[in-house]
Amino acid sequence: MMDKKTVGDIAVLAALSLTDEEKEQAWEDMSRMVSFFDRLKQADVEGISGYNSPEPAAGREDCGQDAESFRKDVSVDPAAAEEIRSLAPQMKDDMFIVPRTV
Amino acid sequence: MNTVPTQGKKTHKGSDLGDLGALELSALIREKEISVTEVLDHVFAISDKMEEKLNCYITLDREGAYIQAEKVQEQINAGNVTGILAGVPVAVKDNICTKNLRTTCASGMLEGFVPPYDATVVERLRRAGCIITGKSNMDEFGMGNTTETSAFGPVHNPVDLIRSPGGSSGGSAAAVASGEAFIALGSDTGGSVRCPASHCGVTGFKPSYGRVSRYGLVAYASSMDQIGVLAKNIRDAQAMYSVIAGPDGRDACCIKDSDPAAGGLYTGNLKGVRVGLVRNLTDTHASDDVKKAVYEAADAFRQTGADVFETDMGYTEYATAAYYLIADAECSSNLARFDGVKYGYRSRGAYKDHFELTAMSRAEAFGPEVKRRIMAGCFVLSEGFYKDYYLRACRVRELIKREYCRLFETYDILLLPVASSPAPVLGGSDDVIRGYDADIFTIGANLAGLPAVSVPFGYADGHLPVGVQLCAGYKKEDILLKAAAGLAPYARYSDKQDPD
Repeated sequence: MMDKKTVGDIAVLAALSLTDEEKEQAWEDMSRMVSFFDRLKQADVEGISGYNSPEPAAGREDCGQDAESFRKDVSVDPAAAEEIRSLAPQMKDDMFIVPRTV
Repeated sequence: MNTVPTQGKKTHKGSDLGDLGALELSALIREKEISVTEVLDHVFAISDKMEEKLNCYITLDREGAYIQAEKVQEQINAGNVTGILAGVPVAVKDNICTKNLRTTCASGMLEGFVPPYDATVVERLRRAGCIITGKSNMDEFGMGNTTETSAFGPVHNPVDLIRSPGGSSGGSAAAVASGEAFIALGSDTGGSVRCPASHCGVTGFKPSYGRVSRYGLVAYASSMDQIGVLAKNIRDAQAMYSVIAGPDGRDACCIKDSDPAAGGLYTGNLKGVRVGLVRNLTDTHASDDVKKAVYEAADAFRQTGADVFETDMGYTEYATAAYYLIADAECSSNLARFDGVKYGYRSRGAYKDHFELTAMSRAEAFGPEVKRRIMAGCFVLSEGFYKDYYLRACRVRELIKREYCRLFETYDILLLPVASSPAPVLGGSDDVIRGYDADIFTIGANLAGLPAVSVPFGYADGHLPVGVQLCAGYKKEDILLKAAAGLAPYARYSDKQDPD
């Protein structure tokens, strides 16, 4: 069951800073979404494994997805480091600036 | 009703450019009947007139397009570019990375993001001599089905400006329908190519999961994301598919073998093709106009020589919940990368530590729907809830996938609606969560990784386009496109460019 403390905990996991008013709205929305997801509790999934990879379904390669190999571990030309650095909102001496951590 | 004229510039032989499909246009360009620059003059003239009303594009790249046009024209003149879509103006959805061209995902988070690289599909477009006109508007990070979650304002449907074009690839669909582009790329995680295609009266094709590389597509729900095509007709859609499909070592889920369907469009009669009309979904979830289009499509299939049967699909009552649960879980993980440090928006507020910097940046830059989905995703993946929610949804997904396998033992093609009703009025509903069930017809193909296409087939209220959806087995694009090409000429919404 969704309670307001859980919503606060989830906001931390989601790394979202919410005002009290936004937390109230999030609690309403989350309660409705969880109740929407609760439809799945009626499904009989006994003996069914979770499908969560591009591997073919057991014995059903005709309608599974191809098991795919990874590319070889060789270096390639990445985007220029300077271009990547230029995307950062704040940089100094080739380092990302963050608030003091220690 | 306020509609968009697509008539305009004529070729030397007097053909109206607005009447041409992408393939025909490219043929004229390669025959020097018209120059690439003249074609751009035509599409940008439509943009000048309509863009303020339609809002198809987040970034319209006129300058870049004319520079590309000059280069491509030189290559065509030198005989170095001979591809079937050479010179054709293409709109690219704004979640597909384009080097040195802003890519925002319609989010405040990436408002100023200029990628240092091209997505694989963009590399292939450029190699084929296509001209990128700009980056098309969409729902924020693909999360929505009306474009109303875009941080840049919604797209308006060219057929009726008070209506949504559908989403999330609404800008791409509206650009093709209005003539602001001859063809477009979109992405389809739960119907985001097919839904806007249906609402705008164009063809929308989502290939099997893995047929088209996702390298450079900003990830939303990685196990379902797939780049697709919005086109004026099936032949154009197949042609663009042939340009963008194929193996790519930079996407580990990309299918290794090439698709024969990318080599050319199979046409001819559909004798012996077994079509299953999904009766329970159609009869219980679609409006009368949509039902009529689907049953008329079944009649049309009979006329082509196909064998049509009515069938029921199981587990449909769980499909939208399983889809949204899995999509939200994946989005919460994928969007965790936006931290206000490495790239994207950074809060200027008074944060006291690193976590606050990230949490404030995300709270200020993401829109309400994105936040809702991230939070829901974090919830279903969190300790204590993971097993009862995420894992259970994965198991339901397997059931749904098996159900498609069962149906494709009997049928070559499934026929069903794309959307429950024609294009909705913008601002007509502020209940986003209730709207999730509207995706019930399209999400199955994403959950099971299957190819599907929306074919314009009828009208609602006399003027609003209605598409019908065809879905085929995994990697069966050949039969899917053949069936779509066979069906299209029977549409009340004329598909003039199609053969037969």
